[in-house]
Amino acid sequence: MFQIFLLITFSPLIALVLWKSIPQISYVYIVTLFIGLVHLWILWLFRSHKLMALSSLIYSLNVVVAGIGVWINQNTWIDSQLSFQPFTGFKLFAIVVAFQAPPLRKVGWFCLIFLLLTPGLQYFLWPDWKRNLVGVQETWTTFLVVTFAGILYEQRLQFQKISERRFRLEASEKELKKYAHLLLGARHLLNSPLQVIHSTTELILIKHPETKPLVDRMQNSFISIAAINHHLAISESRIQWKEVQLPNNLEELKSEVDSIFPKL
Amino acid sequence: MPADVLYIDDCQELREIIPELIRYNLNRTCLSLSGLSQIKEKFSSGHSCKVVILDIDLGPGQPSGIDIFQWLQSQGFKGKMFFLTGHGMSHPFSQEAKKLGIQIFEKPLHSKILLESVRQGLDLNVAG
Repeated sequence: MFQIFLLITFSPLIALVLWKSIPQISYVYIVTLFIGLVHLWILWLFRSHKLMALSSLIYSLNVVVAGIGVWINQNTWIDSQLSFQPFTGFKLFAIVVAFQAPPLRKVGWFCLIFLLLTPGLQYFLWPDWKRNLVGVQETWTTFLVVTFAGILYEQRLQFQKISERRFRLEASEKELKKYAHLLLGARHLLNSPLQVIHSTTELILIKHPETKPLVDRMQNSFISIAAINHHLAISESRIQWKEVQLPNNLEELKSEVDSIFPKL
Repeated sequence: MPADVLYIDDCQELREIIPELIRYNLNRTCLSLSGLSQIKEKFSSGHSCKVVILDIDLGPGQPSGIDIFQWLQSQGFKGKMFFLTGHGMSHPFSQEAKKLGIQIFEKPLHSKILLESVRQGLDLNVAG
């Protein structure tokens, strides 16, 4: 979108400025503007689909169109015998690609390789008098700038990858904290009833000693429950108590469960 | 307040069972209450209490077991006090209670440990 925005915004301006002095270049910019508008229209048509492939294709096409425009303009500038900075368009586009090309490596590198090879190809297709006018160093300078843009693009992709990984980690940590909080909430609500059960078995044993075999079974089970309950507290040290409030009753616990597992 | 042990908890069932457990096992009287206002009322007419078992979290908006502990201290209570909490040890309430330097037990606590602590409190007090 940014690429198209650049084309649409600057093309008519440059076309207007150069209209009287070098009309050939103005035509190129007008054609570029038209193509940019067509691309914008296509993106508008498919806006709800959010197709990465389509936007990448349009992006690549834009770079190719811009590159062809620069190619034509180079010739026009040389033919006009006016002084100009050779291959500036290619260099600028390479830097733009580095910073805002889609995060698909093949799309970014297609654009960069196109911008890398095109000036070299144009230079070697020129007759000697044109080459002498520009100088071979301009080709190498462009080559270096585009290569540098490639490094920037790679760094951007790496940074994006790290950011996405960090974002995913933070999201999963947030989810884990929710589960830990839920476990602690359940444990908090279970502790008093467990104490009731255990103390009651003691009382039953005192009042009705003949129930000992049955009560023993209950108490053995209680040991397992108490051990499980103890293990549930393992997440306790990871809780930021200032940020959480444990449920005080079953309703609060239920609403917490519902917030983690919303009904479909 | 004619009771040897005072048990404070917001759980109704525990308020019924723990005194009974103490009575049957230790042959001592235990009074159970749910909050600070009740204690103030009972203490105003004097007391013979030697051990206080305090739940820490006594419900939202209610004075906590820590508040009761501090109030009892301010009243010159010299008996044994310990906490019996449903919260884990890292909970702010438990952390705050730890700073007071008194024993904290986590629910569910084995009755033998609970009774032993109460017995120690009673014996110590008798010895003192």
